[in-house]
Amino acid sequence: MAEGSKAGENSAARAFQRHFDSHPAAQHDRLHGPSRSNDQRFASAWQNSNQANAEFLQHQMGRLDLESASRGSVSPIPSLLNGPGDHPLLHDARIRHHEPQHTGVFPAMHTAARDPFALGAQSSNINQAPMSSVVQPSTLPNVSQAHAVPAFGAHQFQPAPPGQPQLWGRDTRQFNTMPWQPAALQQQPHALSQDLGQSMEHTTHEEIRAAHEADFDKAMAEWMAQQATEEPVTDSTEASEQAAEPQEGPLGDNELARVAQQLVESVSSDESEKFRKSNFVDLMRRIAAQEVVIRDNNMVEASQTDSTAPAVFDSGAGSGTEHIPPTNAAGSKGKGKARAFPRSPIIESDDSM
Amino acid sequence: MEAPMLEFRTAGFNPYAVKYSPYYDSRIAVASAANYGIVGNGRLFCLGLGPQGIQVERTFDTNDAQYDIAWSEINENQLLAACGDGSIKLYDTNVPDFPVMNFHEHKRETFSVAWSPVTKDTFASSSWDGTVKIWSPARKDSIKTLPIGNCTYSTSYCPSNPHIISAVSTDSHLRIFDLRTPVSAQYHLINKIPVHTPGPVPLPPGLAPPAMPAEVLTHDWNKYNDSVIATGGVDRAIRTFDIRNPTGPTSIMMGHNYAVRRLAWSPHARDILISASYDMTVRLWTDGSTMAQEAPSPIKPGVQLGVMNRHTEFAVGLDWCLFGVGGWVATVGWDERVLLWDANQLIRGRG
Repeated sequence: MAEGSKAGENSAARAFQRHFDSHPAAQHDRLHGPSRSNDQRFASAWQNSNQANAEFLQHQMGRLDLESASRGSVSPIPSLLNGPGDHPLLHDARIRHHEPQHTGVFPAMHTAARDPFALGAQSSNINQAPMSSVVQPSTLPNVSQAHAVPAFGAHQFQPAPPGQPQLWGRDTRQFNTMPWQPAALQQQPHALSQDLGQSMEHTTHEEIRAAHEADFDKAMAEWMAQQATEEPVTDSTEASEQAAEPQEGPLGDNELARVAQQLVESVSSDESEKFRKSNFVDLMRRIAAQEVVIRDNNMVEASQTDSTAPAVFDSGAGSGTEHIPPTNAAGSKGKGKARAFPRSPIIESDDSM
Repeated sequence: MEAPMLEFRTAGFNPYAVKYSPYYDSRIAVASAANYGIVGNGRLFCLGLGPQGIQVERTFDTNDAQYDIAWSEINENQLLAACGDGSIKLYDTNVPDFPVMNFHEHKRETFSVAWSPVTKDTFASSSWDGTVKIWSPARKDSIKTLPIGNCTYSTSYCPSNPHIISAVSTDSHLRIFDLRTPVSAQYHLINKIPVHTPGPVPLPPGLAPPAMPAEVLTHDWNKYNDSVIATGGVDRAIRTFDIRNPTGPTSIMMGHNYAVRRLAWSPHARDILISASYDMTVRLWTDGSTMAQEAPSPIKPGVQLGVMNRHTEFAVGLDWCLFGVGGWVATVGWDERVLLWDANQLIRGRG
């Protein structure tokens, strides 16, 4: 799609095609078969991600073998979710805000809207946020683990006590839920240490935790980089296919036509009037026939692509279709550049705008 | 159906999502994309309901398609848009034209956003880059990243516990994360439910959902029973799961002819949900949890209560109105139409 995105300007078309391919056999082939087509290869990413997950997990488990703890027979979910019965929680919560709050429940947000830098002088609003609906973790089932990590139920988000250094660096607006903070550890660190058969001091525990967090961040960055660069290769045939056709890059006219054709075929058996008259399906047919192509962030009639001013394709889906023409050649690199939006003075500098 | 209906046309833009304001029963937002999201711009419509019908109060254009929206739970004038370039933009209806904040870390299309309904101080986003990110509206950088590993179509907060987040993705799994767990424990993942697996118990007679993995496109937490999640996807089936015992679905609803694109539990009834599909219909269901158990199987066959058949292109977005007598629904489709209609008749009609 747009800059900063690997998707390609019409990867949505791939998604549509996948969503329509609901035939069980096709699903099976997609996941297991060696002959899946390029645009049906979502399972490749799945398989690859599993591998990446496993590797990342190994990295994590190198310090603490918690797989059995979180995957074992004890699930923290039941008690965590023992909410107040049948009360419509969300509805109640929202009803409380039924009255218009023109000043904003979160005054910092209004400030941020005008001056995002003003927030820098404020302490975290998150720390002070009410959590009245949080189920008390103390009711959780006890998880017997032979690890130096308390059970899930003992974990609790708590704001950092006054005077205690923030674990997450320089910004005082840190989100204190990130550093997992055992409640019991805060209240009775020595007793907990004895329970755990350890003699670590509170600060030592925090250092270890900080080290875990740093490891996690590092591993996450590596994992993300791996996800971004690796292509799943299961056999030589598929490897050659991938070499010829990038999996998720911008679709060329031929590739887009092929995806559109598959989508049309997937609904070809539908004889309903809606599908026969569908503008979207008709557009897919025209793309499949390459009567309509994508040029300069617009769908245009292929017959007019040679002219200096290509006619914008009207999908016909609505009356008075308003297409925003490209401002200039430099401003129309791929999807998302059809119209140049001036920057707002209140927005921090960001390349995505 | 004969329910009354209001209509608005998003000329030139194909809607992807619609959301009622949690503050006003007369305010609706619609995220849309030109050319069905394949190429072109996006437009966020802020609509108001009045004596004149549905009127545009504000629009916000983006360079790329918009796939989802979420109203702020802490500021009645602010809302998020999930954009095709991977960014999430926070708009204020009092600030014309420009977002007040821009959050851009996703490497691929951001496909869903959800605001925390409990603490109201964070929001979550999911993307085709295979991650779920948690953000604070006051910070430009994300607070936390949860790796999924494949295209993640939908993420949502548990309606009662702010630390529990769910996500569904292309690999046919529903994942549950608990942010209170140590990050070293599978990056907060506490449950990974294969949606397609039928489970150990026999299915009710006549009910045969596909057992092959298929992309899961949408899910939602039950607002009355916060251990129940409904999922829908490419295999056309809607399933509910009790995540306390996720060995298989607790209810299955079959009826859509194509993929289920969006579903939402009713905020007014514990057993009612609504779904939008590529078959251009919107269907109202009961999951059967309040009905007498007739079949020997513990899996309840859901019952379709009605079909709204007015959309003439794919129905892709829907939301329940939180206010009033309950039952008003907003739906959007690629026919460039926003339809507001009353599902009360269908709900009452079930007997």
